[in-house]
Amino acid sequence: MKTYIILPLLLIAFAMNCFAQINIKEAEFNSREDDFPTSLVENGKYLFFTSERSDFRQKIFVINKTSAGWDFPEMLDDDINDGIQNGGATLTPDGQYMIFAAYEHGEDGYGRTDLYSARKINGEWELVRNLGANVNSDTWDSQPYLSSDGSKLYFASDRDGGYGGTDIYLSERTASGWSNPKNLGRTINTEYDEMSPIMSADGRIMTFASNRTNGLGGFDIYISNIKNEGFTVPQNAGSPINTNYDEYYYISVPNADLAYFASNKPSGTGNLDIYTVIPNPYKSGAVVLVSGVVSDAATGVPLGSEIIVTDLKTRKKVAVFRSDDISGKYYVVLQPGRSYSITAQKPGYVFYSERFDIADTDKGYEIEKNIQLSPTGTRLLVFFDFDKSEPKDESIPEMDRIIQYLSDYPEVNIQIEGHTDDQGTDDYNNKLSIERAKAVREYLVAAGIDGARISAVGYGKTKPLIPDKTEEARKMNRRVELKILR
Amino acid sequence: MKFLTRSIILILILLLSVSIVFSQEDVLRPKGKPGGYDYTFDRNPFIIGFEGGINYNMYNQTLAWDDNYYEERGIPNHPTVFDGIESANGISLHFGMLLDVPINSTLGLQARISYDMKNYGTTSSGYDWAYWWDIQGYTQENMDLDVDVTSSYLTFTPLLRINANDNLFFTVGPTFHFLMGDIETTWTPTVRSDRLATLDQFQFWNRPGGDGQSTAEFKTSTADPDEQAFSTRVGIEAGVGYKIPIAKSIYLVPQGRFQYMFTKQMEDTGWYDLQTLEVFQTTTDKMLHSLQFALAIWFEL
Repeated sequence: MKTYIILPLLLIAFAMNCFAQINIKEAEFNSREDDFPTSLVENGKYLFFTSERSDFRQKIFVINKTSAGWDFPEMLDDDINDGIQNGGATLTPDGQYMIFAAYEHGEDGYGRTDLYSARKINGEWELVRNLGANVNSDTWDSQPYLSSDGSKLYFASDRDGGYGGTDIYLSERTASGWSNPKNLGRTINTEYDEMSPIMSADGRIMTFASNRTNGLGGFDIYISNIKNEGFTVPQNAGSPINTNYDEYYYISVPNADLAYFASNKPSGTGNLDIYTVIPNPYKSGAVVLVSGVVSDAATGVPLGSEIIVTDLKTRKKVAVFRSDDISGKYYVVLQPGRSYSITAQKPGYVFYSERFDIADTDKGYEIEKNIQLSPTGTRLLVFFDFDKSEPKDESIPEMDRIIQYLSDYPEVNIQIEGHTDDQGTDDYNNKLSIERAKAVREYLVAAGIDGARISAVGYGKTKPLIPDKTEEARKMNRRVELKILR
Repeated sequence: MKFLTRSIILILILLLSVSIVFSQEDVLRPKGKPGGYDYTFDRNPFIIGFEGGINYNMYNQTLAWDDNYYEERGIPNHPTVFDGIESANGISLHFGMLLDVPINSTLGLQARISYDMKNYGTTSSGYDWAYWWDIQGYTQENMDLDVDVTSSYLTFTPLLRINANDNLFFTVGPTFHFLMGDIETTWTPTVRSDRLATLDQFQFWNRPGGDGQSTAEFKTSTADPDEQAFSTRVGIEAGVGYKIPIAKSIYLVPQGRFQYMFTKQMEDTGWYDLQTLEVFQTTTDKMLHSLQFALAIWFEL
């Protein structure tokens, strides 16, 4: 009898304790009008949000979070905030590419509220473009959200063919632009309104708002996990996040126990206000954040360069970013358990590639890697298994990149330099290193590069990249490097 | 014509009404805000502001002389020391408060009440004709003349505010100035004469009562029967301002504006010969316009 009483009481106490630990606090920069968060840049250093504080119209603002607290919000320039209503800005994690929604923007649209893109060039938002008829409809298309690799675009729309009200759609970046949007399906969308989709940095949790039945009232935040390429049945985020008022835009800060969302509960400063959630019960899985500065190797001047992230296993480009034209800063989000190469390239410079083997960790971390570009020089290129002269499959994207480079610069000649680790005799390693260099040369020639432009040499074990006898050092030393001869 | 005017007014009222009640979609709500209209205007319709600033006052008047009067007395022309007082300018302060009521996202109505000092002055140099009893004739004597005018108004200015963008706005509307007290004018003539001429030898300065001095300070007031002020003046004001947010719902607002007045500051006056009562000079078109620079602090309520 006692067990029947004590157990439920313990469960209730545990549940109450869990909820009591969630601290929901209103952000100090809310206005008396609508304010709602829409995107994070540089792991939450910058929060982009939509606000009506200026002139009762929705405008896109950004606020910088420093160690001392929040700076004063800044409204984006007129090229972005050109419409009668503007907002829902979503950015790549480096803050260089933006998609936003606008009603009656100066750039012609395809219907009512449309989606637009913009790029940061020399510190200014430029190239403001409508995403086009392939994405936008003649109805309401709004609330975009980009995945952390910038390859997927989620948004809300009340276009025909949905399940009713507003539904959530997905468009994917292709070589020819954004693909035709697909409805996320019955698991996510209902005959009610679904909106403000947010994908976690690890790409495994989607949060969105819906006014479907059996919620706590108005729009509530719902959580759905991605498993086997599909969505799990959405769960109401519950109290204290949801109330009997409206909640939207639940955004988790990567590698942190913090989230932001908007609510119009009457205790706030204005109508919709921004709130923080600590700890975040729906936080994203761990990610690795790689950042640094791209600069000219000779002058140290920061460079705006293209940053390409390639999954070395699938050999696919998973993201294309750009370092800031003024500061040279770049910022990339990588998923654990995969091997990537990050390549910086800029016309007039030899591209630079760095390999990142990200352990399958449940604890996120940050890597700082500054990149120096120069018109000439030696670049790490290809890795090999022990005692093998065939390049590892994951090196193929790098070799393809040098093929592209040699095609772009037909006046450039190169030298392929083979290396081995410290195991074995000098004679054997000398022979193995030249075999490795020749293997890479043959791959380039087979791709159509004139063999006269490519020389191959072997250095055996005389020039280790890491002079050590650990397996990690040996792995790095079994390599071929590329030298630009001009 | 009357029908056309009424029709235009009716259309304008209808357009204004539609702009208020129209439910406009936004990036969060495809059908606009609940209730069918943008309720932000109901929730926070007012701004209250306090401001202070300076006026650059520009006064003009027209002086006309009766040349026959001087010819009859053998004087070749009228005194030139007064020519410089046809225009005067000066800087003074104003303080006020305003209420701003938005009509829609672009337009708003403002009402401003100010305590507005309108001070100005000028310094003039020229000559006047001194009468010498011993020779019973006139001589031309150099003279300096300082004139300073002080006045204060309570001003009421209803304005239409037109936003150019989120920060820049323009205002236009009538302005009503109500005189507080008298307009006081201080005249300070100084004779620069080698012949030791004194002020009581000059026709205009003899009137206040010369006392054998070559310089003196006289005060006149619009309370005097021959210098009447208009107690209410009407004009038009156009201005430009810029809202600088300094804290949540608080703005610093520098503004510049011009007040062009249709009503004269004072009635026309004439100077007359005390003996013959003959008017030998008239002063007309006493207009006072102002350029205002103000710094306001606005609070959203």
